[in-house]
Amino acid sequence: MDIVDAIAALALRSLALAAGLVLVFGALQKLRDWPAFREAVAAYRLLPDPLVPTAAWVLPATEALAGAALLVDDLRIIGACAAMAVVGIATAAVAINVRRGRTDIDCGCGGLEGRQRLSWGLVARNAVLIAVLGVGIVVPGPRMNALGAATLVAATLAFVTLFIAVSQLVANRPFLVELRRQS
Amino acid sequence: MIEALVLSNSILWIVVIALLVVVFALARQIGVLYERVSPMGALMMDSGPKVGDSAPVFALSDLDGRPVNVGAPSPRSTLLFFVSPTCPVCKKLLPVVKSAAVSERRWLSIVLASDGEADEHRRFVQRAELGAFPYVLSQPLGIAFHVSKLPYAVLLDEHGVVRAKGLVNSREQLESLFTAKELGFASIQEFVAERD
Repeated sequence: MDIVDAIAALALRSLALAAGLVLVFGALQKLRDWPAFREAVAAYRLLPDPLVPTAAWVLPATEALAGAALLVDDLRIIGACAAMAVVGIATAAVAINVRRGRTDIDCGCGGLEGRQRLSWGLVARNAVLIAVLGVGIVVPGPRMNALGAATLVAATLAFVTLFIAVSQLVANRPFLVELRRQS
Repeated sequence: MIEALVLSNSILWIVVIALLVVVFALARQIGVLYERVSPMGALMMDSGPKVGDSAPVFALSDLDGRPVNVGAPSPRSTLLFFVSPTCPVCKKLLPVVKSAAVSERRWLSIVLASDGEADEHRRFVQRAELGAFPYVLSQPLGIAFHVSKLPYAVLLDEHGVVRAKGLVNSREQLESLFTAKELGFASIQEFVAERD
C-alpha cells in the first residue's frame, strides 16, 4: 500500500509542478511581448483605460511568482492559492467576453499555440488547470530516491507537453468551425 | 527483475514524451495551416461597389478636423484601410501598412477608417503611433463598402474607381491588392479562374 501512496503522491506532485512551469512560461511570454499583452487586456473591455497598463503588469508578475512558488515545496500552498486567483480572474474575463459574443479578440494567454481566440474550450481548459492547482495544495512533495526523482521529472515534462498540445487543439477549434461553416 | 522494469519504464517515459511532442507538433502544423488556408489572397466578399465601379464620394474630416475626401479624383491612388482598436489582426497589420505607406508613397496615399467614439480612437492612434495617417470615423463609409470583417481594405485609383478590395489578414494579402491593381485583376480568385 505504501508504494501505491508514494506513486500517487508523485503523480499529483508532478501535476502541480507542470502547472507551475506552464504559469511561469506563460507569464514570461506575456512580459516578452508586453505591448501586445497590454492591447489584449484592453480588448477584453473590462477595465477602465487608465487601469489597463497596471493590470497588464500585475497579472503576469503574479502569475510568474505564483508559478515559481509552486515549484518549491515549502511555498506550494501560497503559490497554488495565488495561481488559482490569477487563473480564476483571467478565466472569468474570458467567460464574460464569450458570453458577450466577443470571441474574435486575442486571448493574450501566452503559449506556443499562435493565435488563441476566446471560446468555451478555453474556459474548460483553465477550469482543469485550476482544479490541478487545487490538488497542489493538498499534496506534499513525496520523499523519494533517484528513481522517484527521475519519474517526477519525466511525468512533469509529459504533463507540460500534454497541456501545450491540448491548448493548440483548443486554439484550432474556432478555425475548424469557421472552415466548416464556409463549405 | 527490478532492473528490467526500471529499464522498460524509462523507455516508456521517453516514448510517451516523444509522442506528446509529436502530437503537439501535428496540432501546431494544423493550426498554421488553418491560419493560412482561410482567405487566400485578399478575400473578396461579393457585395458593395464592384471592382471597376466608381466609389461613392465622401467628404469627411479626420480626427483632427482636417478634411478628407474619399472617392474624389486625386493625384494619387487611395488605400482605404478599415480598422478597429479591438481587432487583433489589425494590430499585426498596422506595421505592414506603415511600411507600405513609405515604399508605395509615389502613387499611394493611405486613409484609415473606423467608426465609434472619437476618444477611444484618439488613444488608439497615440498607442499605435498612427499620427501620420488621416484617420476618419464614419459609419456610412463602412456601410457603403459593405465592410463586415476587419481589417478590410479598398484600393481606389486616381479617378476614384475601385481597383481592388477585400479582407486582408497578412502582408501578402495587402500586397495582392497592389498587384491586382497593376495586373487589372479584381482578386486572386478571379486571377485563378482566368488562368484555368
